[in-house]
Amino acid sequence: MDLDLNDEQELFRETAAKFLADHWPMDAVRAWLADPSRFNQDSWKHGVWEPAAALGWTSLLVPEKLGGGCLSGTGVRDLAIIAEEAGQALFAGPLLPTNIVAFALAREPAGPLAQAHLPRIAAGLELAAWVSQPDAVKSGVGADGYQLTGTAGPVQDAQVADYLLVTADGQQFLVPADAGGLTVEPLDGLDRSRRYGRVRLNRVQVPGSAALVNTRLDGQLALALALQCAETAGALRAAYEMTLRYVKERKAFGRPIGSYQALKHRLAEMLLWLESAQAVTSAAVAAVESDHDALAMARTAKAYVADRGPALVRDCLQMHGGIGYTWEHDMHLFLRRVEASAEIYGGVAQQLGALAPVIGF
Amino acid sequence: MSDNIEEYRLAARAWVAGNLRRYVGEDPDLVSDPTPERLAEARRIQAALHAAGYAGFTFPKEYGGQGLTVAHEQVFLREAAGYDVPTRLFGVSINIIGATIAAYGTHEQKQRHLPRILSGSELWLQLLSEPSGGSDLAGLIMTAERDGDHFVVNGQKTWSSGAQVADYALCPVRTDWDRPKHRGISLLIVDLRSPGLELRPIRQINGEAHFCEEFLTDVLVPADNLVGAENDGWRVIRGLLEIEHAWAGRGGPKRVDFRQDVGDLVALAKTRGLAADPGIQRQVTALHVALLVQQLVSARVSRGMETGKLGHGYGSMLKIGNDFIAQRAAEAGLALAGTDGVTWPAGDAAGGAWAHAYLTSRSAPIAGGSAEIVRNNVSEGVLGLPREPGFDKSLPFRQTEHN
Repeated sequence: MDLDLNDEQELFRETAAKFLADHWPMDAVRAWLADPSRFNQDSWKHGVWEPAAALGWTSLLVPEKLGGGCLSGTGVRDLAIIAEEAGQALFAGPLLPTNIVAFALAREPAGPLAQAHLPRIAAGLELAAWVSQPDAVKSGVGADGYQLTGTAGPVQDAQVADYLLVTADGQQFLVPADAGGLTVEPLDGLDRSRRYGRVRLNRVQVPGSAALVNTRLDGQLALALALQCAETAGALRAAYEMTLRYVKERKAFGRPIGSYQALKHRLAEMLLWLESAQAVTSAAVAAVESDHDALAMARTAKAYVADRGPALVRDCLQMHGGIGYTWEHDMHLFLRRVEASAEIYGGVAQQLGALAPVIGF
Repeated sequence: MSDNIEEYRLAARAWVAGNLRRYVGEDPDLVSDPTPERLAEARRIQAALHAAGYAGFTFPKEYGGQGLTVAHEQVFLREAAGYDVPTRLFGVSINIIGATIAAYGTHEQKQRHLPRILSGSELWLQLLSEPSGGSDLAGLIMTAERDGDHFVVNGQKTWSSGAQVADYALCPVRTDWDRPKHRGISLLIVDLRSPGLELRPIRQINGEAHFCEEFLTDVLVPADNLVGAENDGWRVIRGLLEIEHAWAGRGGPKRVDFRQDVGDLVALAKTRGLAADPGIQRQVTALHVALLVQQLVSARVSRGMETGKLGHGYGSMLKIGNDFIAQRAAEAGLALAGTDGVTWPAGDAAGGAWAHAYLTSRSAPIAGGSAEIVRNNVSEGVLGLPREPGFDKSLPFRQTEHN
């Protein structure tokens, strides 16, 4: 948790936590696990997503004139507060993808895409996903502008999105999910509390007005990594606190298992990982906010969080012993989320490879 | 706040440029075993720092400090990087012992010693470890017997750094063998020039001899030199250790330029023709990430402790990361150097640099609280996990098993 929240941000955080406790308890996570198709139902949109949007979850990066705005003036930081709470609750809604698309559209606030879509995104009426793979889709000349062809995935929340922001040949296009020639194939995966899809575009026709002029993929990727790290930091805190409670309660050989150095020494080390994940995530969020060295800092955060995060949850599961290996215990849900997030948007090796030139390689 | 810090930074920058000497080559403060001339020079520099308001940043003004924050200290140290400042030489004196006396000493002790500690006219050290026990600090057996307004002290201490040139020491002693272990300890201020106190150097695995052992035979210490009440010394020592770990966590004796450290490894990889190897690149870049994250978490913990959102035990937590990085960096250096790291031409001092760094790094998780003790402190002090059962808590110390 960010240690420097002001009173308003603290209130914002508490409101988010309360909303999640009411609308997204573990029972809800379990229900969605059993039936992922619920995400396509209007009841979910009206019951969870629109109320979340009403709390500002989709409007922090949207200009005030287009129905958005944030009181603090630090929209990315406020969004990271929500992402952390959402991670702690294993929230399944398209919080990251929709906000990344909002961020991209808001770079051209006077453009037709921003004017048409940002008010609806801010109100929770439109869900969006980002096809982030830079080389997967090719653009060519189409009947009324462009024609897109290619296959990209995994795309987070592709199957629930109303619009997809597609990266193709260095440009970005906002494509409706029901465009002719566009199909989304749902993927199975390790993290069952979240959806990923493969997007196929077969000569999809898009008008020139659907293209973003000012594409800055670096900024979008930095935002995605920073928010993803915030979400993971929340999930790590939940898993760690669950484990700390367990080792204090569980007895073996006449005393709490948390009194054994074999466990407590690891928990001390894990506290450092948890606090470090938080510290580097805050730095990444601040770098994205100020647009200063954003991608390098966000990659640094991801390189750390994707390394120590999985290590932390693995050991949390281990400390639970047999019960931690059961389906009914929640720990595997956190393990699945943290392991999958470690790879999505680039894993440790990819981030380190990209950072190597920073230190002179 | 940030505006103030910015102003402070500019003022410090100007003062540093006008009053300190930029060194060329090796930092004179890092030269081990300073000569008497260097010692005198270091004391002059420290006195100038103190006179200008750049010593004892977080100490109360009443006792010669500045009444500022850790952030101011960090700003100054960053501005003074590359200049000749004796922050290592006076590091323990000021940041561990001075801070402990400020927190636990009597008004007279603070008045008498703190201004002199901050201005460098008194150099202090701590005499904590004994040959009978380092990690189990409370198992100490150096004994002080009350004789009127004095204590008579007998026993042995070890692993003290810079004892040859120091003036005073903080020294825990057993004042009551019939109380339980932790409740029969008192903390004394000992004048290192006292009759009956003998020093001998200890040779370390890296060949250097920075540490001494001390033999005390019937050394007389005034009763006014008690820090904290008689037999209440353990409480003060716990406080001292937290102060020490917090200081180590925010950079310790000398702020190392972390990027420079990793830069050495990059240069070594290039020299060895390994710089294009993606595995090597990732290994060294991961160290860069670890260093950067450690700086960030140190800043987070310092701020959290200042605002009271984090308890003091978090300072100990930082040591876990510092020790890890120190060892991994040295190991990476030795591995990258290959056979040149483990053999070199006879008499070539530079040839053994990686081996020396590697051997020295073995001390990181032993010195200043072993890795195991630090993890005990964090898990018990911060996480609230129960202690392992022991047999030494309630029995009179003389009835327990001890060395």
